[in-house]
Amino acid sequence: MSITYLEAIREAQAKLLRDDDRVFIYGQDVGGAFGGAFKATKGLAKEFPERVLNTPISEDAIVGTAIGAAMQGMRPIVEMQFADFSSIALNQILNNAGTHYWRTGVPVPITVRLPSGGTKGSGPFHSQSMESLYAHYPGLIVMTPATVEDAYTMLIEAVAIDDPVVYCEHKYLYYHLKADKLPDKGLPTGRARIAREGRDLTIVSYSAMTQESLAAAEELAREGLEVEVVDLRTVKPLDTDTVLASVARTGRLLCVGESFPWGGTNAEVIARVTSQGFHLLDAAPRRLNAKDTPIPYHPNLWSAHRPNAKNIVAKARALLRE
Amino acid sequence: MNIAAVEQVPLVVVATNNHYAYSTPNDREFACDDLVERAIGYGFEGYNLDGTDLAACLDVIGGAVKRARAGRPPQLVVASVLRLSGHGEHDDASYVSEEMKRQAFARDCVKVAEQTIIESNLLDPGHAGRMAQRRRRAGGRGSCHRSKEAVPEADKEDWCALSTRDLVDHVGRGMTKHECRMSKEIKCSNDERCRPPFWSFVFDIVSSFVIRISSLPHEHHLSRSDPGSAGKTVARR
Repeated sequence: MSITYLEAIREAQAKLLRDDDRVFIYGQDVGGAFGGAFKATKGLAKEFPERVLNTPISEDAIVGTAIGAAMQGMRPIVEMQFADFSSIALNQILNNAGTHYWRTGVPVPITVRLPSGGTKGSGPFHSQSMESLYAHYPGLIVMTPATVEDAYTMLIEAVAIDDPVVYCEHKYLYYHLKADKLPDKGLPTGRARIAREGRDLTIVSYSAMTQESLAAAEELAREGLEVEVVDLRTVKPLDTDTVLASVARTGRLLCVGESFPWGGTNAEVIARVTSQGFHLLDAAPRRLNAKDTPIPYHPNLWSAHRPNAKNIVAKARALLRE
Repeated sequence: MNIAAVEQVPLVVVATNNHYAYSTPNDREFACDDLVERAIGYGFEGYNLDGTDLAACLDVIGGAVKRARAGRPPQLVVASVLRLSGHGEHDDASYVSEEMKRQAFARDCVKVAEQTIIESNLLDPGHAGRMAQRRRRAGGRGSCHRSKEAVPEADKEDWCALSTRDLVDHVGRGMTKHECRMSKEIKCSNDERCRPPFWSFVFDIVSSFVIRISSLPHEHHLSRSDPGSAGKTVARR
């Protein structure tokens, strides 16, 4: 049996709907026979017609309704058609869901699924990575699964958590990533994973960039360079301990993320490592992000815009020479 | 409103049209003649009324509630009033025109309601006076209660925006210097190749000396010295 990242997300939702009456899926085109723009809810409306519901094309209203339902005891999963469009729901996600527990003592257990990141030809409005923006605000948990197994267990965990979770699933991994079977249990939420052990350089990454970093590590291994790849899994909370422990072993840090370069998760990791583990570093930490422009349509430009195994290798080599 | 209509929610929205958004009058907020016209577009049933008219409020809003409960579409009631104070304590509302203040809906709705109740013989004036007194006392008690509450103390606050305490992100936490060293040593003791050679400590001392000199503000030229080369000596290769 082989199961893709996308199928894992669908299976997780099917399990959640079966196991818990409070769960319902709310989003554009998720219901009926259509099953979502990427088919992440395919077939679910047939089994649960009352609980897989199409919504008007208004992200703010969708999340607002989900927040109300969550406060009344439900466990809504909101599907944004593209992460990019979740900006239309920022008021509900950040100002309402993110502050609600702090203001009232009543948590808001919503899960907002964001089909994130770039794919060829998707352009500036269907390719963005929003995790750093959501991580910046208090009151939210931000998940960025990089494997089929994590896509499955972390979504189940997201719905179980009493606080709002922004679940960033990577569209490039939907069909590219496969596993033999789905696990019953994953690592605890908030714990990073050592995706590959090494002693020369630590690459901290998450989501699709973990896969690119692993490919880069494989390439560097052929030259006798041993790269340790840390998969953050959740960018908030950020597992600083695992990152510091890795840097303690290698002395060098490269952070790789697909989001825009100004601020963000890479900057946060580097800030923490330099402020808490400066003495562990043998060279200045580096980061690799997408370019500071909107995301291009043309496949040639797109693949140069985001970090990829090739430029990760180049950056890593330069850092290892320092 | 759109999603409420699509989901056929039993909902009554009462829009208190006080004619201003802070200082901006309605003609800079929307261009239709009457807000109630919005109802049709959303699939609501809409009604408007003078919000200072108690009997009209009971009648129209009461009717809307009944219709919503009976399964009619969501209901919009636009009640015209005038904000009789500023937007906040700091605001004297001098931008409200005299003409606006002369409109029927510019009356004080509480006073009008009291008058209506008395005129309808639902309550005698003495009783109404006592009610008003009780109301004022209750308001006073409320503010007394609030002022007696202990002021919050920042160092006793848990500063936690999540109910799931074990998922709180600790920006300032992480391994202590000692824990990091331990972690480094544990790994190294398991791996002969990654144990730093004894002479690396000499380089450590030299490098820290170089870094210290280079950080002196008036010795900029020294910052060009290469602490990286000293750092290299402790690299695990």
